[in-house]
Amino acid sequence: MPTDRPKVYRAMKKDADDKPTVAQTATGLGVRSGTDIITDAAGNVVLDANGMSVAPGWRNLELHRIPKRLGSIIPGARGSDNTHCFTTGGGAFQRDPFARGLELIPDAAHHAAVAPIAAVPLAEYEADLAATRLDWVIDEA
Amino acid sequence: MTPHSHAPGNSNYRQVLRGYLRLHQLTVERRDESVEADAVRDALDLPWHALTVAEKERVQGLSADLFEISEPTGGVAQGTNPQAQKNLTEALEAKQRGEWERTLELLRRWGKHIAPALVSYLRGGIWVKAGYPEIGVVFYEHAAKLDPDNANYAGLVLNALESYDLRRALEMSNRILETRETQQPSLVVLAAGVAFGAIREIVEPDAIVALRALIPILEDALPGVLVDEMRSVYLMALMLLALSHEHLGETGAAFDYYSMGLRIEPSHDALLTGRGILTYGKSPQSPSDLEQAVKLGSPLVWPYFFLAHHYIANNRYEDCRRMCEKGLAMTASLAVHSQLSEWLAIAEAELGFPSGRVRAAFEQALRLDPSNDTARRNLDTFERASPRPTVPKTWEKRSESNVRVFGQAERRLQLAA
Repeated sequence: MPTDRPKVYRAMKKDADDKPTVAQTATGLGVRSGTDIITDAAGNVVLDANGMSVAPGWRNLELHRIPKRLGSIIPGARGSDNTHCFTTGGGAFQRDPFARGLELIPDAAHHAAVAPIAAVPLAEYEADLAATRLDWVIDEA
Repeated sequence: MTPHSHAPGNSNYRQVLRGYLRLHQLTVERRDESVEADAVRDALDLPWHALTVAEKERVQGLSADLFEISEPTGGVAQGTNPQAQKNLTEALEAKQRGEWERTLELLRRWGKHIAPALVSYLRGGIWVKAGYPEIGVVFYEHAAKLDPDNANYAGLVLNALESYDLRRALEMSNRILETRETQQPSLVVLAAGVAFGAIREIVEPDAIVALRALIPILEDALPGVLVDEMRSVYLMALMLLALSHEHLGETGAAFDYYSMGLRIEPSHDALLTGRGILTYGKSPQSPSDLEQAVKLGSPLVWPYFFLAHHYIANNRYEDCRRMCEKGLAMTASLAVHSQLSEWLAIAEAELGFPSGRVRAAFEQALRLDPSNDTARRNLDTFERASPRPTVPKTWEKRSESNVRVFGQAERRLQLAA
């Protein structure tokens, strides 16, 4: 797992290899066009500091994204038990390069977006996110 | 932590609370891994991020409390100890002071030492008072499920439902009334109250049929309601019976039920108002019933309305003016406000108020109800006499029976008065 990028968490569904499922959903490694990001007339991602949502710790995820099975640690957690808290990186939770073509843009102490560095086509942004797949590991400790 | 910190108004907060409540319902139905549950979660992301830290904590507390009642606990409390007793007493005191956050926190920590039904009852009350009856109902239902012999819990469910979901309240009311032989009489009365409220929306003659069906139900339930323990329910039953008979034109029976209630609770403003209206123009007792209701600060327009007429009919213009002003400050139909404005104009004319002010009151009466022909004719009388203000004017005043019929029609089966 790369340690030079900011350490982030995201609740996602997993594939058989225990790596996140690449999907354009709120619980996939990807973004929902029109919800998480918007594109311009040319189909390029608009650089408005939005992107794939992440948090600095799994306890900072939205309560309805933290899997219910973790309710003994976070009472009231309402997330799907089909999701898992994945993490990647080891650096500070601050604006920094994240991976090829991507950067982390915090908008609050406990929330940030993994956004494209340049106004690239949506498919390219999605491919850059998907390229990080093997870097994610489950961490629910 | 004040009551206001829970107050509705923040749409994101309300949206998140409703979303979490929906997730709880899906959990109970074992559908919390469904496509619908995922859609609820997706819809929660945006409003969640707009919440303050305190709001997120409140949602988390609610979610944890809802989880607690999703699990069958068997309704058994753990043994208590002095520390638990002390903290539970503090919780009850905090609830009395309206410190809802504190109460909920204490219940979360110490509630396991008291009956789970009681914990749910307390939680339900807080959410209802905070303006979220849909959440309160969930806790009240849990209390009622754990302690089905306590009719108070089922009654609270009914009351809370009535405040935001009349259809469900009526369904529950119908179930209770259909099985009334096995229900506690106090719950039957509460269910009859919901049914009675629905009759207001029914047109004649169906309303008459429905009222005729309700009367024996209430009469059967009444002896089973213990006055000392369930005074408000007992009085409600009497009020319902009185109003039902009154609407059916059975004034003798209506009078008896109002009077029976007033013997138990002489300072019941709704019963005083009801009896005062019923006997208006027929009994010298009527104005004193209405005056007592006004002294008690009745929140409804009726005692002020009828007394305003009583005073104007007896040329007590200053009393009439005061009563009209009080009545005009209250919620009422345009026709009632129009009538009060007209009487105010007459009273002010007789008291020598400036003609511009009198005219404005008449014009207001006509604006509120253009069909108020009496006000139009009295305005003409005023205008004809205005060059010679000292000349006595002959106002057209409505008779007591006319006003009683008007008031009864306007007030139609209104339970509170």
